Amino acid sequence: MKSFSEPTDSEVDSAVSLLLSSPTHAAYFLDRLENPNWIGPLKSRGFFASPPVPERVEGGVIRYPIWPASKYLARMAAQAPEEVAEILQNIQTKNPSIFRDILTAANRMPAAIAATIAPMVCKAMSEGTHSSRFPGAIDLCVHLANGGHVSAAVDLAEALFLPRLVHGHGRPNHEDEYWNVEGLEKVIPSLATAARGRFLADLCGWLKASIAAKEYYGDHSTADGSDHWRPAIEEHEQNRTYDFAGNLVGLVRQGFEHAIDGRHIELDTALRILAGHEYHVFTRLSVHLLNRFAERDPELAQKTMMDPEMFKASTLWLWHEYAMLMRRRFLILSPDQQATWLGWVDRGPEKEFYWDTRVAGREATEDDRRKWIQSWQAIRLHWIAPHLSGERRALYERVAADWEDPEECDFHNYSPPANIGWRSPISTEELAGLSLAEALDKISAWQQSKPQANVIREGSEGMARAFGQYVGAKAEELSRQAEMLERREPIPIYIYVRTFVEQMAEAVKAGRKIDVAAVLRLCNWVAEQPVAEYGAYIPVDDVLWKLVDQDWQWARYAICRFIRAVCDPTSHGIPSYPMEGNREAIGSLLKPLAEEPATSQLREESREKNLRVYSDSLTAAINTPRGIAVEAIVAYARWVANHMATVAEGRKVVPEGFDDMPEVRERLEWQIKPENASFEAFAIIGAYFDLLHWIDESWVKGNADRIFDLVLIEREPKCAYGWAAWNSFLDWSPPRANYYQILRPQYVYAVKHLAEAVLPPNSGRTPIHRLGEHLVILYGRGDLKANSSNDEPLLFDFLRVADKNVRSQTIAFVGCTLGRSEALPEAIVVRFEKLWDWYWSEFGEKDVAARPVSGLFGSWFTCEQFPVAWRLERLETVVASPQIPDLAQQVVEHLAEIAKAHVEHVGTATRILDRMIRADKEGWRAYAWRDSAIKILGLAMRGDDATKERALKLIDHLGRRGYQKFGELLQHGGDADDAK
Amino acid sequence: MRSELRDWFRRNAESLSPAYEGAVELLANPTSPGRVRFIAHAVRDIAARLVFALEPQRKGKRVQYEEHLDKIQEQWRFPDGICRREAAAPAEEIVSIPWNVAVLIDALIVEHRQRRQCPSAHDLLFQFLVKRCLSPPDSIDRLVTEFGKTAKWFMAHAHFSAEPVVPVEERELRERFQAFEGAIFGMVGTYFAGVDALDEILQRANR
Repeated sequence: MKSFSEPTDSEVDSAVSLLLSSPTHAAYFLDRLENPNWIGPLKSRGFFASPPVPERVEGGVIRYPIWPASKYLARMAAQAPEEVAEILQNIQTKNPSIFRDILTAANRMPAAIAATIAPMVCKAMSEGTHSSRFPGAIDLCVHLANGGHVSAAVDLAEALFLPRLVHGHGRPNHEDEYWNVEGLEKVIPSLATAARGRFLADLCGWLKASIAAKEYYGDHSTADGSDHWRPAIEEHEQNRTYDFAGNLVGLVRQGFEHAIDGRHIELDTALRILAGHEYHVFTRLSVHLLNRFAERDPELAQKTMMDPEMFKASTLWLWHEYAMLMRRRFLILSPDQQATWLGWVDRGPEKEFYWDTRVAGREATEDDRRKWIQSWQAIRLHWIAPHLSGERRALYERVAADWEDPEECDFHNYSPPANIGWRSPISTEELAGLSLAEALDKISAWQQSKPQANVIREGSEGMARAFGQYVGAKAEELSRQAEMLERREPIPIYIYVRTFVEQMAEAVKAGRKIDVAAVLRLCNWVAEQPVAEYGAYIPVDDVLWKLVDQDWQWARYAICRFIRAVCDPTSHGIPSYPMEGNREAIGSLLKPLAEEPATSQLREESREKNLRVYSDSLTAAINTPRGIAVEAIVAYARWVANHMATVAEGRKVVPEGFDDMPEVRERLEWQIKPENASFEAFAIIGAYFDLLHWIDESWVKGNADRIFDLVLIEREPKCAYGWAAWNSFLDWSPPRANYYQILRPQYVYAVKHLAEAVLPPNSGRTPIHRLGEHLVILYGRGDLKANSSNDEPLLFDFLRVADKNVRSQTIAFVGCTLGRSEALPEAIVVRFEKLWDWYWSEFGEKDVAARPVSGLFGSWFTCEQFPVAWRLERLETVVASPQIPDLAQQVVEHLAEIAKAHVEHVGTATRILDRMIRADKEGWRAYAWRDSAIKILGLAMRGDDATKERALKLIDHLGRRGYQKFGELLQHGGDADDAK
Repeated sequence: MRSELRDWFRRNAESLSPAYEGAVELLANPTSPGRVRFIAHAVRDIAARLVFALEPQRKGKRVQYEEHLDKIQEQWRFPDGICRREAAAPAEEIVSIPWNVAVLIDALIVEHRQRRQCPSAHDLLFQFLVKRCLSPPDSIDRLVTEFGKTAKWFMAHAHFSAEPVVPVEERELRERFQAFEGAIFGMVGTYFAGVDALDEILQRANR
């Protein structure tokens, strides 16, 4: 080991003064000090006496400061263990960062010295000062055990792993549970061998406690239900990894196996420990260990196999372990014993185990009982199958031939591995070679053969998936035979028709050439059927009946989506399918589909939801029958319009509008009639305002007030459908001057009643935000001013009344949106400059004070549409608060670019940077700006005296914050490139 | 560190700069007569006046006890002192003095009280450093205490007297002076200069 020099007093004095002058100096020094001889001098100067405590910071967060002193001690632990241990023993801390260092140090010391720290660690764990979630604590446990300090190791293990259970829950909280299991797995190999009896007894005690805390089983003295929550004592895929007690069983088993394997404990001693607990799982553990280590005590193994009570119990909770014991150890029984055991099998089960109840709804017959007894016998013979002969072998083979899964015989409670319901009784491969008629017949025959004994594994849902894959593979061919689904079988036909139509929609989207007309004829047939034609289909034993269509409704959804797929244009806006042959078929579907019931909950929830700010009307709409249907109408309208459109003055227009598609007008006007109105339909109409306006401007103008009736909310809140349309319009339609002309009354009303639009907490982006964005764009383009009423104040009114978060975001939006624009005319830029100055004088300072790190000017500053000098001057005013502007990293990057390109602005850039850095109270935000800050300060160092002086002070400040890199600017005379 | 301290004194505590530079020069010249005393005196002055150099608006005011007592003495009617009168004279519980003498005594006591109520140099230095917010208060307290301890040693060696001079080991003198410089540097030095100084210490420590 390297030997270090002893420090002199003056070295220590010099260092101490510097360490005391700045915490960052102390961190710098202690992070780099590798000499253990400094421990004593630093200790005498009090550097290990005051560990930092947890701090509560803004937002309710707790911060755990790092302590360089503890990290230094952890590094020195291997070289100076006694000195370090003496210091650490006396540290009381609730700071997990420091606690972690203590554990690191302990793990680096010899076990004998680490053992002196262990009591402090145990105390902290037991008192709950720290949780057990420290890998270092687990490592320490192993370290102590391997180092021969067993008692300390077990004390620590008890503090770490004692389960903190709540009765009725049977498990610790999720994280503790994870650490308990993971941690025990690590310590068991060491502790089970070193600590043996005490630790194994602890494990059993923890297992017992976890069972006692279980909701259903904990109240019984022995019947613990362990065959349900831990089907196998050994590791097996039947075991449930989410059960805490189940996981503990595995750990208990590991512990005993390690101890017995290494001969640290005798088998009979192990069995005595287990026998001290009454729950069934401990007996199962015993039988498992007997099986594993039978050679150590063959007589005991024989005795167990031949115990009539054990044999009886193997029909229930002891099933698996007894089966495994018999399978592996049958041959250690003497011939007489084997004969006796087989005689028990021949005799059959005790009468109490007879399945004497109803079978599939009828009384059990003698034949049922006989079959059940034979099944019981065959299972037991299965355990020793290699050793069977004669009649017994014949019986076994006869019964076993019907078994799908022989592994089931090894378990009292067996969970099949199949995906429930997704397995199809007829595979896609079997269907592939069939015609559609043959496939439907085959499915129908299978459906009619239900119920089945084991139908839990197979269901209609799985069958329909296989059918869907079959249709998808042959969509072109099968589309021409669509009419074959106009039939009644297989029941339930709904799901198969729906699947067929869905596959056709996918084929259309993929550009495959299907017979659209034939599929549309099928769709029309479906639309003609009453929705619940056959009544609700609830198969008796299809456990997944809820995944199976109960009526034609889902098929109707599929039809709407098929219509959309057909009508949606290609990426170039060209319709994919001709109108000829298709228009009438689709058009005739619109009426029955579009009159689907309106099911939105918004009528009842109108008060709670505050429709003025509710932004999810459209999302809700597109998942309702009415909404899906109206979307199909709109898609159809677009399709027809694209066919009818011509080009006039360089623009695509629909000359005759809805006159060319009266069926669409009829459907839309039906939707907006008060007696038929719905939130769904209005939301979709509002969202597609742009499209509808393009198709027929006069229709939109004529119906705008009916569609966007915002006033109705004052009289009939439950019928305020206009708000669904309005909010969707705001979200989905661009703010155009001509739209403003049509909807001016709505804009004015919405602003006038803004105060009533109370935003729920944490509301995120709402239609109110979008309203602000609309007004900003209209204002910037001069569209508000161009209005005969000169609505320029409308934006200012909005900003006056809006919630301050909305206001801030609306202002920030200006910068964001202008930043993405191409070069704008000066008039627009000037208009926005005026807006900012007005905003800042009226609200800006207050808004910034309310939310220091808020969306505000950052996006304006980074927007190069505004002149440099203008931006700098406004930014300096904003940060004078002092505040950190939004998009701070981009702001500093721009500052650096401006400083580099415009030497005359270096001083201003430095002043702004200074403000921003000092406003960063927590010190971590500046990390993202450091590269740009280095550039600015490098330029400042070569600037005038005042700028250079400011730069020097800022560099010193940054150094004290821990940003060492800035020191290089002092070495390189402000050459930022060298510094980088 | 030394050059930075020198520059600092010249910029921020010009009146103390000659004392510091003079002490550094004497330190480099072991044969100068009386150098220990001179160095110690310079350190004493710097220690006493440093806080007023850091915060010029705080004016250190000394109570001029001798001046006050000279004035009182002129008016005192007991030229030989109260305790030297004849023992046979009746013991008086109260000694009466003229009003003008009482005023002089009162003035002395008032100034003395004010002086006592003023924060000590330690406290003033502490307050100044806390205001700068560069370190936690307990660290500052320890820093100022360290400074005071190093200054105290020099104060004990600052005066010439009739007693024989106890030689001061050269090594001790240098180490004490370096400790004094380190303490000042800790209070006024820049961060990165401190890092450079720590790097030197680390280089030696980690060898």
